Amino acid sequence: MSDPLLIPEILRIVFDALETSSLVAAAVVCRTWSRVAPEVLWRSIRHTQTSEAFFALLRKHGHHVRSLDILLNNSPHSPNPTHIRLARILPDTPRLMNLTIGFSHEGTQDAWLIIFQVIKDYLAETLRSLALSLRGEAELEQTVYRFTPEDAAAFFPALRQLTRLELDILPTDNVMSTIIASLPSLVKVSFKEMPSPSAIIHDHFGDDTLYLLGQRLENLRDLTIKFNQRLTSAGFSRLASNCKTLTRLDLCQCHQLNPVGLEMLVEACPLLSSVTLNDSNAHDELLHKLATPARADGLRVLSIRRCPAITTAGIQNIVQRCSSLRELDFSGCPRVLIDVFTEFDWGCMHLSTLGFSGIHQQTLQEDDERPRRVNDQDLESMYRQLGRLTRLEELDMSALPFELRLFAIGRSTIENMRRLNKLDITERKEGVMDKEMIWLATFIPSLRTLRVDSYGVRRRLLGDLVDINSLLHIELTSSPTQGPFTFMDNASDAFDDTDESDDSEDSEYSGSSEDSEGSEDLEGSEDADDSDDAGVSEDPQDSDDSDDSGESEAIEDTEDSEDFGDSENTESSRDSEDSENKSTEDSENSNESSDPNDSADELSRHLQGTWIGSDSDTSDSSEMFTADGSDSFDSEISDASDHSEDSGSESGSGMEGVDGESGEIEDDEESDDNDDNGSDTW
Amino acid sequence: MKVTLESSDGQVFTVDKEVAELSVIIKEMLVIEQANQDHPIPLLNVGAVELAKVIEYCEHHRNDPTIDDDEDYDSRKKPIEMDDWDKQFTIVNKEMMFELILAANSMQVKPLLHLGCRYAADIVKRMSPTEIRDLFQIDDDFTPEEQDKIEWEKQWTKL
Repeated sequence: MSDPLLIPEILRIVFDALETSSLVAAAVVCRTWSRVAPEVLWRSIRHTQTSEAFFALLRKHGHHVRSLDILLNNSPHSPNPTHIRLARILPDTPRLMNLTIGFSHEGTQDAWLIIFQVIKDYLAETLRSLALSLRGEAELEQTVYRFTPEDAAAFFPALRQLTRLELDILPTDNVMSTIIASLPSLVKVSFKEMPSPSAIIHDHFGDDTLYLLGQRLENLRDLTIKFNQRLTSAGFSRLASNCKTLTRLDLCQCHQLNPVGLEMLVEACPLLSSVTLNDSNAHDELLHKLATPARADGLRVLSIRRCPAITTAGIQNIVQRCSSLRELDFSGCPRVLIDVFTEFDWGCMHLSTLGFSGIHQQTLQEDDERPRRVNDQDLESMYRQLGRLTRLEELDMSALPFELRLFAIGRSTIENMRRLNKLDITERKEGVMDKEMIWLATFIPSLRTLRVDSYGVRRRLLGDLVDINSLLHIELTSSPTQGPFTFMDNASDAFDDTDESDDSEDSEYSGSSEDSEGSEDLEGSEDADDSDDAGVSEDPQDSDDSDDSGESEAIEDTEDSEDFGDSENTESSRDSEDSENKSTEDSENSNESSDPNDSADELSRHLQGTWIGSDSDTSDSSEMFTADGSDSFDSEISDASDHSEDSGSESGSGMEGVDGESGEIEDDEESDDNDDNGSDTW
Repeated sequence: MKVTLESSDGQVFTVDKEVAELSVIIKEMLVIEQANQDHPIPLLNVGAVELAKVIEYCEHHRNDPTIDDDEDYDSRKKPIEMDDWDKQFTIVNKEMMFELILAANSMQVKPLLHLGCRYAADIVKRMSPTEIRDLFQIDDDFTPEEQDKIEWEKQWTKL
């Protein structure tokens, strides 16, 4: 019998299904595996470290690289800046098709020019997709790579194969016309700007350029424009006359666009399958247009976060008629009430992502009644409706102004969501209970990400949960009342305000959550989410979190204790098994610390996730690494062990652990927070 | 329309043409031998036990859309969908599954091949190299020099 696992073509498919840490281990199994694994490992590279040695390896495996997403994170004035390293290796990546470069330092105009030159000289024939993004400091300092017309004229015409262009700036009219004239085959364009004090609004490209865009880019399918303050409905109506083939449209925070303009655009593009209009003036009539019989089946994605004009009726239109809908997010639409779940059966049975955080709010609209108090029947209806959505993978039910009673009422519903991968129940009205967490970890094996308020969660419990579901990553969000953000008090007023100050204040939410979607494997970025959330927690209802928690816990405690008898037993038995395993592993490690394979194992395990770090044996492994001399990982591993000490000694008030952990990346995210604060100027 | 298939050990199976055509190889053969459909199509690398199982799979998935073999397609992002039937189907021992992978590979039944490979990947996941070698009886055929080099690389491959 020949072994399928020694046939390269089969191995390739097997390796495709492995995550990075397993691939690293697979690469050292035997010669055949070591030849195939790098092909997969280096094919698509995201969120890398930027050490010298890494770049050397990247150069070596450059011919495997198809996609590269890299953050240049040290200052261009440092002795060996990463942009120079990147510029050196790009000539050795002959098959590179998708390139994403992030800059996190300000004053990097020269750095961009060097990179542009290399891209032009070496990648012009292969590059299909180019994204230049700004993070951290650079995001604030929008002038970082504002193209001069000369730069644009020297750069863009060379990129003959380019079909996707994403920039984190809004180019000027002049630069835009160069882009449009040089790259007529663009299929996707994205121009986003972060609302920031340094944004030069009168420089944003205007209506005439938008018209040109629609006229010249015949293949355009996917259009994203964020925070352009010059575009008006007039421009979009002219775009609409040319762009009938658009399938994806994302217009966030283009505040000059009135509802009629949006409606016209949506009406003119019958092929639209993905519509994102967060923080916009979208209203029910627009949703009605999307839900007409001719179009309802075509809609796959709809995101209308924080649209103050949208009401329950608009959403009902969508959920009843758009049977092909896969993703729906109407979070933060204050005028959408819980009735959206109660009155009709939903028709969108294929929904995989649903977000309705922060709905059912008190609004300032005069014709609105005060939202009624949510009773158990409402919750039952809500869970019944959710229970029909058997394909749900992501569910965001955070920041709701009523008690979720997740375990008491929603239990069977949640347990039936066999594909549920991500659940967000942060900013809850009632406190998070241990048994609820154990329940979620035990009965929803598909769950990978659980976001809960850190308030009241015992750190020690998290370690136990890892034993139950080792793939589960728990993101703790610091409670708004404990965070550094104090605009809670007037938030209930600001929340429903339709004026721009509020919109831009909220904007970071959408921006940063989009970012986090793309950051699966990076520990840091997951933590960043936490810190991020602290800045987002302006939802009004959380101030009274602590009051309710005790009460509801007391009610449910009695009925749950017997239910959980079983699961807790299995848990503890697993516990002991695991500790046995660990001890054998430990002894192996110490005996054979010279054996490279075991350190690979350790590395893999380290790569698996943040919470693995709180395992009791990590401190051992850190010693091992030190002994091994692989100093690069020392700092990280010892971080992890510090962290585990934290959780051990102060299980009650483990908040510091979270903060320390995310400190590394917080520099980047700080800008977001600053944005939040600074946005009042808008 | 029916097609007959013959396993390496001489057993003959009759299946609907559209079922057999989930195998890229058979589909191509049928195009070439259009006129000559009386003879069974010989499958020299596939035994009767595996062929029966492959056919069972194809019968169930006869109406599925085909997997597109786009080079850009990054299957690491989007794992194949597995329904409950598939889960039942993959409850077999490792040896049987490996035979099925080989059969699916030689017949080019892409979805089954991917299903089998995912089964293998699930086994490999989170294993140390030593454990993988022991389980699959793979020899460590590195020279000491290669070993050192790989070791060095591995430290930096934290993607």
